[in-house]
Amino acid sequence: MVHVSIAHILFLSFGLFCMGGCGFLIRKNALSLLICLELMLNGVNVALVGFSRFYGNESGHILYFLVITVAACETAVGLAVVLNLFRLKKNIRMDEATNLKG
Amino acid sequence: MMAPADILFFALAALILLTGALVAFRPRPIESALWLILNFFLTSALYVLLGAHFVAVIQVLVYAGAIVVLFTFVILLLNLNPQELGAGQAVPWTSFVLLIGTITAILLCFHVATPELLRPLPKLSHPDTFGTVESFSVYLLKNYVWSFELAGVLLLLAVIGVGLLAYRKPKSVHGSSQQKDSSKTQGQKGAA
Repeated sequence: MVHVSIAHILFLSFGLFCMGGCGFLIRKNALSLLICLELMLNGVNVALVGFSRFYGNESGHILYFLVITVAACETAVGLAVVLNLFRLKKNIRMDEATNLKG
Repeated sequence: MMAPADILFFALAALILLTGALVAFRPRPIESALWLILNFFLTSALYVLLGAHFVAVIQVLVYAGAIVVLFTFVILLLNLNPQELGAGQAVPWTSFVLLIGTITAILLCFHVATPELLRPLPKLSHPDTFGTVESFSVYLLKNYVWSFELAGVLLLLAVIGVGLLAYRKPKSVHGSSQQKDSSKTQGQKGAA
């Protein structure tokens, strides 16, 4: 690695994060929303591992480990909520899930 | 002159961004999920390049192996048709969101493109042990043991919560008749 710098790793991270964010805002169904969330978390993880390499200690790896724990919990709970939404509405379109709007 | 590791890094970064775009913008969730697997595998290869070997293994096992499989199961379980997915209609603010997202990404990139941060990555002081399971575990259990335990509690709570959310009572007629039958047979056995 002669030319790669922390800035290059951060470019990749920002690209993934913004793509996930755009996808989150323009998708219509709940499953795609959760998948785009995973993409955003993946972008954050790239930055964490890059900083860990930059500073030469393992703190970033630990934080990565905690992030994927939370991501696994979030995915499981989110998918259970999607299943219940499907039972309730017979579709998973986000624009029809407006029961909490009041 | 670029070293092979540099070329590998930039090729991997380009492929990761390409598969990320496919994940975010393919219309059907199953395509997104399958591209997400490839994205996670490529990211894992990038982690190997950054010296994080244990993290790369975790990425493949947990993300590509467990989380995406969970997504795929739910997608196949629901078996949605395009109308239920809301396909074919774009949200009204699509182009605005894309514009804002692109501008945000470019501004963030300019923000970190300082000469100080654009210097090559420093040499590791102990490259043989960096990122191995041993050093990772020692670092985790020495400095972050409470976070580790809290993560375990969070996983337990998530298991309980998902069980409560997804539980549905069995069909009452069928279930109650079976229960009566079993109690009858048990009573007969006891009498005998």
